[in-house]
Amino acid sequence: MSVIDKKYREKCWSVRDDYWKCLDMNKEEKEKCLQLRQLFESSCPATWVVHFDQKHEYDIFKRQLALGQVETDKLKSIKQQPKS
Amino acid sequence: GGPFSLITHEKKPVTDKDFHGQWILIYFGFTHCPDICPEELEKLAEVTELLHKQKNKQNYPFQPLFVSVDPERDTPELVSKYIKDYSPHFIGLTGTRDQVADMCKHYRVYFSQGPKVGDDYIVDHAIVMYLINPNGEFVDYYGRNKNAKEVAYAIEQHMNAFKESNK
Repeated sequence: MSVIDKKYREKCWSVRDDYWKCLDMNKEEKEKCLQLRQLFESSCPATWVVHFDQKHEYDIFKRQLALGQVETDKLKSIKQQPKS
Repeated sequence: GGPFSLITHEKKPVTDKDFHGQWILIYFGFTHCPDICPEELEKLAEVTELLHKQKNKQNYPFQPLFVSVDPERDTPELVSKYIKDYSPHFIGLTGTRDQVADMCKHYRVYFSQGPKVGDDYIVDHAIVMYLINPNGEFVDYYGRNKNAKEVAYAIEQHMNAFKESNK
């Protein structure tokens, strides 16, 4: 089965969501979610794992921004980065 | 908007002229897409269903199109298998690298192969749906921020305006 199969994609997304739920419940402590991480990595192509990891980090950052939890130093350094 | 020359998921060569007389909504994507293309294609399927419900009021048929920005991997067979999961009404288009690059230039659609992991890669591309009227003219575009109902409504407005101006 590959990404062209709907069932494969849905399984990957479902496993990814379980992993993210675990991280959410464990304050992003990856050590607490190692099994789900392994399942996630084996259910999705490597490029998708990279993509979803980046998305997850970005989603957390957005959440923190909204809650006013991002320090000005970090904000300053991001503003200085070239747009991707 | 502009000319294009590609082949369908049924291996039939087509150009933009073959779609004159129809409203076409074009989404650019690729079959190995992790999340955005599936979401946008679900949206496109919903827009299609909403507009087809009003078929009797429309002078020209509505045709959703999926155009691949990954000519290296997206063969007609792959595209055919992929789009069938979203709607029986989709026509999928693919072609050579030059044909795809040419169309994307005319439609101002950015696309670029991302870093490879083994043989795999993700294609970075503009996320947009383009509306072309029955005369082959570019009319409107819709981004991720519009949902299916909003897109269908906007298209219906264009259809009505077109009907009026062509009386």
